[in-house]
Amino acid sequence: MSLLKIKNLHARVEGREILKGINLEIKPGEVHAIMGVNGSGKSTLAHILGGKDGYEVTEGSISFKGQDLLEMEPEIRAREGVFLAFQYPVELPGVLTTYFLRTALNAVRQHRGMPAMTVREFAAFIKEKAQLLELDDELLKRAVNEGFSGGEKKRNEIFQMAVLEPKLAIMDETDSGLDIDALQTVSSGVNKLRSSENGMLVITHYQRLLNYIVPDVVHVMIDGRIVASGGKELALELEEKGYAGFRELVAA
Amino acid sequence: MKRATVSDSPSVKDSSTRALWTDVAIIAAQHHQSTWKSPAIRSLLSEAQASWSKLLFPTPKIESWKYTNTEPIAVGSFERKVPSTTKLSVDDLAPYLIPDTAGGSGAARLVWVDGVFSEQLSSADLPPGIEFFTTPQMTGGENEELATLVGSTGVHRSAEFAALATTLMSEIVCLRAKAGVVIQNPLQLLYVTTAESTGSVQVPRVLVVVGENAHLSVVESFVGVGAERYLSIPIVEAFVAQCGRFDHVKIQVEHESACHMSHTIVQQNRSSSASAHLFSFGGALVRNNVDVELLGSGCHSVLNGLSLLVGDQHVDNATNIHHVEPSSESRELFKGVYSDRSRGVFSGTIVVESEAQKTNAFQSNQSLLLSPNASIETRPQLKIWADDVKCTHGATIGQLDSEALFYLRSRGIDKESARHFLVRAFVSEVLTTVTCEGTRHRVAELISSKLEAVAQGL
Repeated sequence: MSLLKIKNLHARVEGREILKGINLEIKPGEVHAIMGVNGSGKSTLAHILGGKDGYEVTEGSISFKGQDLLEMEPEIRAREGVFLAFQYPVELPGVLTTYFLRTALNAVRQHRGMPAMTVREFAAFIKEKAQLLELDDELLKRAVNEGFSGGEKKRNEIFQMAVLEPKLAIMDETDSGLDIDALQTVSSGVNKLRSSENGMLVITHYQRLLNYIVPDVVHVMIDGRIVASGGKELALELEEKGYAGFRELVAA
Repeated sequence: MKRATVSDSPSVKDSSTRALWTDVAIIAAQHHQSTWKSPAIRSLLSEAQASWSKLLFPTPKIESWKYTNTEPIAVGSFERKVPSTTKLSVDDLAPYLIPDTAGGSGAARLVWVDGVFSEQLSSADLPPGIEFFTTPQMTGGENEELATLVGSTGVHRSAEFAALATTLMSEIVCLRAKAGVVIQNPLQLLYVTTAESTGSVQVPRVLVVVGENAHLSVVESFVGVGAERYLSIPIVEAFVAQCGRFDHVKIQVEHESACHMSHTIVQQNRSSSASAHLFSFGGALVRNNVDVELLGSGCHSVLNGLSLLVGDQHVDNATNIHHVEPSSESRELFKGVYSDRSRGVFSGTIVVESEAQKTNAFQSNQSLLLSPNASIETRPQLKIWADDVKCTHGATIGQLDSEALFYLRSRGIDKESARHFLVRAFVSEVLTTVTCEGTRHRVAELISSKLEAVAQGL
């Protein structure tokens, strides 16, 4: 059974059609990458998967583990196992990272029929996850993302992903704003979280990230449509030809 | 004086009721003239009486009262009662006491019941080095020096409710920290209003003197227990000597139909520090007038406030920070969370005199409106006569950030909890600057319970 199945998805933002018939299927264990230029609709797709307000789905469907994803509130999606790593993680001054994450984790665990973690259990649990992402313990003592550098914020997203153990992780331009060292750390963290049961959707501009997180399937997105899909070599072809070479496919 | 009726007929309107208020104040003052032996207090009463006859109730035509209408008080009927002996016991006070961080049996406390100081409910012993005087000791003689400090800030001359309260004043409580005395734990001043006081006016008056190099910390708690409609006009005047330090926290949880018109005046001498925190949770119609006067150089002041309002509550914070001498610093942060139809007013004045060069003064007012029917009026006023100063002010008014809400929900946190997280995060900044842990803990509890009421209105 597929983990995620998007069928003929059309969506509007403020009356303007952004997604024009997306079809995508991710099976457990697969990593898919969507590549596309700014404005092609990549982030819109990520936001719709996460359940953000302000998008109107006019046609098509999204099923997650056989359930209608579009019917679920954002928090239910998260508890069911969808995780969205934000392109621009939000700063939450006054919200302590550990308190926030423990509340989130326990909401997720309760939904999955698991007992809540005590403060002590949680402390040991996140310490282990922080090491995985080489995240400074000090950052965990601060308010969520407050005063974090761009790289720290992105690393914190993947750290949260590691803590919440999703079935499907959507990474919205996780590579943007990362220097090469941070990119390697984040990628190695992501790779450690890959498993035969989980799926991932990596959204990016650049082929560079895919050297580190090697995808099973690559999709090229232009103007709200997926115009080409293929193996990891498609990313290299795209790098070579540029998006222009693929635009012809839209016209055709 | 046992009882002086202000008005027993709520139907009497406007001018005639105002006249009754004037009459009763005059009668009260004349009566008190004969009970006070201190020449200073007697002359204070005469001044206040004259001032009240002239000022009367403020109307919205007066600039500083533009957004707070005191008509419900002016036309209301409040009595000046001297309640019978209280039936409260120390156990009844337990829910309102500040825990003692030293692990003792609670902070040392002074207790007022229905506006009257209760020796019986107050701590028998205050920390060493803290002197305590009540009315009998202030009727002339050796403590005349202290008596002359009462009203020396002149608040009764310029402020309407201070004039009224001073006229009605029948009791004064004075606290003095001797030079060099450092008291880590706060002293709690607890004002309890019981059902006995429904329909009454009460005017507790406190004088605080912090000696040179002394450190005194005071927490004022106002609670309504069973009483409904009442008017309370508490006045605190605090004088902080050279290098002294005074920390003041006010936790106001009056009954939801009470009126509360307070005055807090802090006068600082050279190199002294003062902090004041005003937490407004209760009351129907509330105005906090706070004046901080930095009379010496090298002073440091913190003035913070937080209002958490529901229903039809109205809280007006009118603050005035006055830099008189050079090289002092003041930091002011007022935050408010307004739900339902509640209203907030913030008027923050900072005056920097021409002598007060190298002044640093920072002011910020931040409001969160959780309902389309809630409102906030914010008015920063900076009057700067010196040319070498750093003064900033800022005001923000907003709603909960939808991006932040989505971020929390995308991690599995439900919508209500996510809102709760963000409101709590917004208010927490004011709490972090309260230095005493026990007090901070108590305020955090009150914030939690008030936030539940706020959440119900969402």
